[in-house]
Amino acid sequence: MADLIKLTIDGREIEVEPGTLILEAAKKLGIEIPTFCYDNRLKSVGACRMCLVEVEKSPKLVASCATPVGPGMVVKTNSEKVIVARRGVLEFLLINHPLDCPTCDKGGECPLQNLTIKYGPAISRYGEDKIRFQDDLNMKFDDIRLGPEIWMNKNRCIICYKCIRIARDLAGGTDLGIFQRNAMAKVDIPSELMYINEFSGNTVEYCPVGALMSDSFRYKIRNWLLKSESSVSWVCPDGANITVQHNQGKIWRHYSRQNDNVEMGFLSDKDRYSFDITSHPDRILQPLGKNSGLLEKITYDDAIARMVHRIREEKPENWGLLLDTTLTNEEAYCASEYFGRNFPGSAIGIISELDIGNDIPASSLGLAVPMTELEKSDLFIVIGCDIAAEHPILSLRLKKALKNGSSVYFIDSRKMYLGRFEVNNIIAEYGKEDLTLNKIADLKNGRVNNLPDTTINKLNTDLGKAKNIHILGGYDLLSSPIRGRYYNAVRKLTESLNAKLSLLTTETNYLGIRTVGQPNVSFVKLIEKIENGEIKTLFIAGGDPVNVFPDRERITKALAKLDYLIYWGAFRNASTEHAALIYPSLLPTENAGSYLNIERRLQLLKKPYQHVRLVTSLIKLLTDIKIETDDDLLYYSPEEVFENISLNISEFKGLKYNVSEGAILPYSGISKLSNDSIMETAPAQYPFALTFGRSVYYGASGITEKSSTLKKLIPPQKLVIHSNVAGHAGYETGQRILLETANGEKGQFELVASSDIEPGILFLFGYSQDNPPNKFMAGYNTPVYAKISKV
Amino acid sequence: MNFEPFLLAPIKDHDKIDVYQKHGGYTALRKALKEMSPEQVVTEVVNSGLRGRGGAGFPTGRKWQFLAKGTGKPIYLCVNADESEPGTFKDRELMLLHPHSVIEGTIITSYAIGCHHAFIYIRGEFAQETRQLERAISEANEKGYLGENILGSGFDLKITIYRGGGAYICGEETALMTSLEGGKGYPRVKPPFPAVAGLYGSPTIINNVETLSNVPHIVNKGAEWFKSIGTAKSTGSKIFCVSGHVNKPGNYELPMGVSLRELLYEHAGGIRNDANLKAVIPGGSSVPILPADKIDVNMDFESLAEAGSMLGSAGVIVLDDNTCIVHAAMVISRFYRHESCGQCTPCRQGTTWMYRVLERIEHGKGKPEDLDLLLDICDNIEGNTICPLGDAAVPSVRTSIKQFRDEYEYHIKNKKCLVTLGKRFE
Repeated sequence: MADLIKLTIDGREIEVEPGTLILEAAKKLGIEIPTFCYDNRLKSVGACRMCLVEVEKSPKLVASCATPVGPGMVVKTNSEKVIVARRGVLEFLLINHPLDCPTCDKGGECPLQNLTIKYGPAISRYGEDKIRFQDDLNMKFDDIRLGPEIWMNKNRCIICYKCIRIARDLAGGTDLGIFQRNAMAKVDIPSELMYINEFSGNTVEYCPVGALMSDSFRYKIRNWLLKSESSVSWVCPDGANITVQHNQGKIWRHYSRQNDNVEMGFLSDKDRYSFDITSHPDRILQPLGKNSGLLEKITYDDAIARMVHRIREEKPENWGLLLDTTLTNEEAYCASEYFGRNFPGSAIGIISELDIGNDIPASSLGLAVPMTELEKSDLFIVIGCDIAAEHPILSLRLKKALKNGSSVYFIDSRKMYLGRFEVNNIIAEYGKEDLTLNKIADLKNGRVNNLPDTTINKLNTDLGKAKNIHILGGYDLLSSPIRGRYYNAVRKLTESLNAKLSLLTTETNYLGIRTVGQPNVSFVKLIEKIENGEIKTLFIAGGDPVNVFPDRERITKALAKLDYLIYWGAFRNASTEHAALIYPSLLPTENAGSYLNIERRLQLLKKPYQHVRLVTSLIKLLTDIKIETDDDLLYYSPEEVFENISLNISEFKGLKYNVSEGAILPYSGISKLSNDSIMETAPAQYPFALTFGRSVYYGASGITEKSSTLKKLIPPQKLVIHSNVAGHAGYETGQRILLETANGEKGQFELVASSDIEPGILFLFGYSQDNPPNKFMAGYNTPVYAKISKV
Repeated sequence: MNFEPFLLAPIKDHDKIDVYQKHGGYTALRKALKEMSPEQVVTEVVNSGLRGRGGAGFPTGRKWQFLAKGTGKPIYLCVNADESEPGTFKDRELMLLHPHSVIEGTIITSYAIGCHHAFIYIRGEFAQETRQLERAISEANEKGYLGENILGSGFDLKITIYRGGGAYICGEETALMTSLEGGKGYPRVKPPFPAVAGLYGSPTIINNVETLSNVPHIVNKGAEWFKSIGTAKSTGSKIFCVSGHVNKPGNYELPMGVSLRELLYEHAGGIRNDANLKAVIPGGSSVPILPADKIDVNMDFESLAEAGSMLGSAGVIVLDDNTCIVHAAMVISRFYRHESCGQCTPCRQGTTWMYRVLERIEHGKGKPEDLDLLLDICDNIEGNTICPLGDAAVPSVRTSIKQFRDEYEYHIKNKKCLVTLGKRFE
């Protein structure tokens, strides 16, 4: 540990680590030095010159955000020279800044406004014309679109480079840059491209002026009319901390709520732009019940009465409960406990796209170490996981590690990317991934040299040097047809490398629901029970199971077979087609409760506003039902439920609702799987295995399609085939083809020929309402064989 | 005086290697490689007192000694051939007519600092000069003065020429390196300094063309010889580029410390058309203006600094009394506005503002408060920028107002030029 450096700032002494910037040292003393371009998570550029301070013995003023402290430095942050310099810099920034405040989104939360009031000139001396940046002379306003969501007004840009650093260092792209020089220099994108990137919303939040705007917020409401409440992202298992900003019972925006342990203040676009789901016009706001075969609006009392009637009519063992993964822990526990006590023998399942099974307990899932530890690994092996799409916040940690010299290796049947960061890809044969992993496990002996594959050679070298290896497994691993074999090979590799292993599930609060919801059957077993008549009445607690279960036809038929389907949720969807009773639900960002994120970290959602009386949380609904059925275990708040959770669920033992926020539940390590089957070979007429990918915007039970903002960002659905195969068969990129699967499904897609995938597979990427991926799936961990033909 | 120019030696076809060798070319290289260690070369240059000829005047040998050692990274030498300072055209003549002296200086310097890959960053507009250097490099390669195991010494060197894209800012050393690496020519914040982490993050030395051309002569004839020319603190010779209203504009290599009056009247032939001298900018457009009554100053770093100006690159721009000083200041500020890279606020906005005000005054729309405004803008730019371009934009405006304020005031009040009486502006 090097010696601390002593310096004096404004007459006060402080000791700091070497390498600390003067600005950071001043912050430790509580001295705020104004800046525009500085951010402690981004590389310092020293471009805005607002942070200039006086340093004794230095002939010029020094940029405190870009200069590390020196021993014995004497710094003045408020001397006459500094005050004059600050006023000068602000005057310079304002000479070409348009007087857009009355119509600019940023007004009221604008650092330029705030610093001008504090340090700037009151009157402008600039008497010349301002330079106007008008791309399209026909437009009345100078706003231009950079992409589907991001608008730009170049006149306002003060060239602080924050958006460029976010696009480059965070997301790993080179989408944004400064074009032109001198006073004509402004941020822009290359003319043929659009700015679409999973972290694009951060550029709007961190822009210190109103140059960058979000289409979903632009000109909609003034930010000082918004009230804020803390919550957690409900569309992503990484659990980014958000601030919900609302007014008059509507959520207008999600903002960050910097948590350095989780998302570090950078929300993915999925987290940020999912806010408009709560105000979608299709929201159910009143209970619905079937009257003579038609669903009609009914009163709340009627809805409760119907439920009570059904409870009296149906046998306990014929009930089923499906818990959605966006439920809070308290709601899931409440429902599960209710069913367990009142319907002994009933089936309780989780709506999940993965069938993980009891052989891997919930405490073996998720990150083996906290995110802040994860980024310290020097070698990542990411197996069967598109981490940029499934876990954008975790991918930030990997990118940070990459910048510090770590290496990342992806192993899957297709290539994976982390923006434009340099990563390594090892393509494995689909259905035989265990062979590739075993080959790598053998490398550790180091005896194998000069392998024909240069990437494996490189991995061999890196394995020799790495001291802290972390292996991550994701959707493709957990949904693989050879899941047992694949997983055991991963485990063997982990042990032989002395590495850590994290199995990353893909749904928001899956880990929480698994732990407190105490499911007694898997989702598919529950469907089986419906099919053979064991379950006659089903209660679906939120979500859209028809869109999640990996065999759309099967679940649609099963739900139609039920005698009585009760749905508690926010929207009518494919799952509510045969519902007899629908209760309107609060969405998570309107609710209070707790989530476990992928680290098994307990995080709290807080209630921003009171919704209309009829839209309830699951806790309130069950309490109202319990009152009518004389059940005396009543809950009136999530805190009360949590008390019982901490008493009855061992993993939550000792935790208290508010106090334990941020606590990480224990990790119990990895266990062996018994199933070891191999994948059957493809039938002759259907030679390809069909694999499924996703965009970063699709997830959370399929209701992200209710976000008109996210819908703009979802890329078009495409089918990828290996270029050599396409060449042989005479197909080319852009062609429309017909896909037919061995289980009888058909769909038409645009083809992409690429060498980024393994030749034996077809890769279906993205989502559309006509061809949702689960239409083609044939069940959990079941291969889908397909063929293509020209249309 | 009995000074014989050695940098601009009046030898015909000095750009051909045979002629160059016949007149003693590459003997310094032989001497350095065979008889001297790299440290000895550095010591010789330190002792000679050679100072950078690009404008800053930093002692060259001392700069070489700042190189970080033992980093495990390669050491690079960048030859700054991006001569863009208005009024300066000396490097051009050296590269055009004496390219081998530049090459020989580069090789010896590379040997001294341990560089095996040197870069010449040449201004893009210098197409002919680039061809000359390319030819000289291939000639030197043929004779074994470049490549592997030069003259059997075990020393390897490769020289790469990189052409700039037309930016004055790329003459600034950190912007030069960023441009060489393929990026936009934005200066970097210092620290880290180039000698520690420069080109590709490796220790780098950046030297001007004229500076390096002196190195073979210092090696051959010794530090004491070099010190015998010029003054105590500004040793050696200097190529003075005289341009403007003189009878014989051109490059004049003379000992440091020659008087400006002598330079103008004895060597450059005096003011043309028998006009009177009004002002001289002695070191390129980035230095303070000297009025006509101050030209009895010696042309060396110390004397000019004492007189309130700077030697800079020694681009001597001569203005006669037919020059409207407002117009001159406007043209100069237009240059800085155009060349500002736009990275930091004061230079980006300030240079444009100054140009606009000056343009307004020049075209008869000036206001009395404009002069104090200009001086205030100068104060707000100077010292607050990332690189010296902002500082360079200031002296011409500030000193022209301070010394010729009456001319500006006349221009503003009467909406026409004091000097050319309305003939000049449109």
